[in-house]
Amino acid sequence: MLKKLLLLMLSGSILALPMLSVAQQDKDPVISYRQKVMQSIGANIGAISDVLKYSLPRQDNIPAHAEQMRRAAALIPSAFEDELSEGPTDAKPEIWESWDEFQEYAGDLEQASAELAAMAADSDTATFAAQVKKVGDTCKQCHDEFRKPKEESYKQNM
Amino acid sequence: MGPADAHRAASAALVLCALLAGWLSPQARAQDNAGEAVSRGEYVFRAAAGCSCHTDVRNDGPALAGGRAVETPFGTFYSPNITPDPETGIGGWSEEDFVRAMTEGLSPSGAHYYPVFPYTSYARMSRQDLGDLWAYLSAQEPVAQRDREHEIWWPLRWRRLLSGWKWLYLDAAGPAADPSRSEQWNRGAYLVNGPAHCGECHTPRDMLGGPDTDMRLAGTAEGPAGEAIPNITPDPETGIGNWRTADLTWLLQTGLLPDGDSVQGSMAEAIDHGYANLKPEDLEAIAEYIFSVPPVRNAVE
Repeated sequence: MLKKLLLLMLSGSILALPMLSVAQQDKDPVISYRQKVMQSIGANIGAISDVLKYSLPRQDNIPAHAEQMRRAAALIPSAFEDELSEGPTDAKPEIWESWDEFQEYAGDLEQASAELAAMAADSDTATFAAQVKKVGDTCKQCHDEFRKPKEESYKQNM
Repeated sequence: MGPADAHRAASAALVLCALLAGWLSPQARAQDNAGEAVSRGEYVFRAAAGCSCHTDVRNDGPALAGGRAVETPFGTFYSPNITPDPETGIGGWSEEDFVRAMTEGLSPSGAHYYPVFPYTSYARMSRQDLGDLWAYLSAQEPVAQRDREHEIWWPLRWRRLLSGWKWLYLDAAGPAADPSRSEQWNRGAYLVNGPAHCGECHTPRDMLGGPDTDMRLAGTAEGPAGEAIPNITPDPETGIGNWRTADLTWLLQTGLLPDGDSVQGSMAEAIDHGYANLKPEDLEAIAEYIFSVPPVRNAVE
């Protein structure tokens, strides 16, 4: 009984493998590219967060991370130029209906990141945290309106 | 005016000053105390996630004037106006009315409130915090806006059924104190199970809409307003067992998850309107308590 069950599970996972790779191949390069642009922003604010919340002796790196975030934010409008909200993406069609607002939000992230980059590297954690929250608020502002809620996210169906 | 007159006028002025001072100072003192209660109350208000369910954020509604739809399996509830407007809000209430509503789920006229209003958690709050919160709410801008009627399954309109519900669940929130634990743990338990009312969304509900106490804080795919609510017990696979304390306090402070993504939905709102304003030691206390609850295996998908 147990053996059969294991066999069943194993064959199930083998069958699922090619399906997974098909799903990945199905991803439009436009989606794939813009997801990487967004991930780079997440990676940098995540790195800044790590330095601050774990008190890592890497506070000198924060301006560089913030600068990378600022530059990536400047790429958002061009990365999202092609209207594509179907398939494995969390982009809502509202992006292209309210394009000016979407661009404005990207500009807000650019601005907040520039402010973070300009902060003195020896600022105390609470001061940094307040500015990081401002950056996070610009992420949230745009996600609230233009990203599918996690219940509808393509990741749920993967 | 002769010197005698001037003398008389001066004495009269002195007496008047003395009288005024005597009359003013207790008044001023009372105002001072009220001011302190309001500012303490603001902190309690933040710990309660800024009571943001009472603001119709989605439609840019006025702060705390209610009208926000909360969809549940039992129907759609609309939050009431809790501004101090005497006609449509809670301006005509006494402090005792407020305490009774918060801890017993009863309106000033004695009608039962539906448990979509998290009084099971607020029942854990101290009398001091409730009084301060009342002072804060009473000091807010009154907004005249009538409450909207709930759109719920008709047998549930018979509110007397709720006395049975309360008998089952009024005491079902997690513990607010345990003398065998540290002071910090106790503070965390009080915040999590009382004002911050974490379990109201993070604990799944049973068929009667009461908290499923075996699944405390284990999340649910069918949370309020159709949101998927994550498991926040310290289970390493399906919960937040592989987070560090700083990951949780940082999230509550900034709204940023360990992977750098911004948290979504009503949690983002609760952080923004509330938890981000808490003192670092309170965030630490919340984390200590959360990481001490029994881990529950429950993958929310």
